[in-house]
Amino acid sequence: LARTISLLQVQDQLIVEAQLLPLSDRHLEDAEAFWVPWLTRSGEADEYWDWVRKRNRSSLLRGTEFYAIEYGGVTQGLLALDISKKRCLIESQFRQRLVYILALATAPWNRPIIQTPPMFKGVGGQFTDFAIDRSRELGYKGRVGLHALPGAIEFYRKLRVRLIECGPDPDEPDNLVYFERLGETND
Amino acid sequence: MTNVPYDSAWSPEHQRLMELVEAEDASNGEVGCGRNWGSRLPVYLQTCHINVEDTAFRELLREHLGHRLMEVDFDRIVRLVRTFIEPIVVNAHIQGTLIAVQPIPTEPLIEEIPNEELQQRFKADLGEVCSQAELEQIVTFTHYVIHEVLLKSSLDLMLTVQQ
Repeated sequence: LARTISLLQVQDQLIVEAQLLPLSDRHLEDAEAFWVPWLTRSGEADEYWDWVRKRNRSSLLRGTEFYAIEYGGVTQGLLALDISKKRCLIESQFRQRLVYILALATAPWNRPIIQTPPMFKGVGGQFTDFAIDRSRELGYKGRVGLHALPGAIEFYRKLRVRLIECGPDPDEPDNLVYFERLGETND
Repeated sequence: MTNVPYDSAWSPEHQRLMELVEAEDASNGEVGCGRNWGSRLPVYLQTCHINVEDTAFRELLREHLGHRLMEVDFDRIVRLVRTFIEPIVVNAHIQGTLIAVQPIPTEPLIEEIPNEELQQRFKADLGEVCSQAELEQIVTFTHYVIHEVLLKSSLDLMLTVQQ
């Protein structure tokens, strides 16, 4: 499932080739070493990582897939997909299977709110395109669902992948806006 | 804003990348989806497999509520309960600032499924990571969700009859 993808290296305005590949412990260790210090101001010592290291990856839930984007040996983004439990909510494809994006995040240095200019652009979009491809591979005809974080709504509106904006989801604790992509037979 | 000069030699992949960058610029680089786990994201990724087992939980719901609710209602109950459990599991694996857990209404509710059966179900799947108090919280929340879904279902039925 590994593939080569393109990212924009912002500083030099260069298009570079990165790898999108299944998540390994190394990616999570990367996040531990590089992401968390950026994300936690206080630098509180979280001991959860000991537990994280000990986890046996084979115990990961069937039906959940994890991926990372890597460039220069560094993790640039993390993605978790639920490929079996979630069902479509849009009426025309109600309860049909879809790939649901459980979590998608880009590295802190790729977020302008944390670093200006950011290092790379394209991580979120490449992950979304990948989720759609994964849905096709699974026979779900490109049906994808996700709950966008408030700041990212405009991003999903503008992705040009025909995501339908279904409005805030009252069943979601933070009332996040739900997006769903119609299956290709409905295009 | 990104300003890469267009190059006619760009492959379709590169053109697509420029579209992705444009979308990213529109949200000032915010692309996240799913819950906002912040620095706890790696913990969530490592623990999201710990939750109530879908099939067995659904079976329990069917057994007690199959005559009153439909699969779509069970979808909703399962989804809400699993979402409720996620931060509890994450919190069980961290120290320091905990993730907020949804508040639970305090009014007493009818046990559509006996407490013991729900306890048993959740203990089987979550007993290793959740305390007794947390398991009870999950049971209470489940009663609440079932109550809400039953209310909605009755309301929908009434509206259908009226029409």
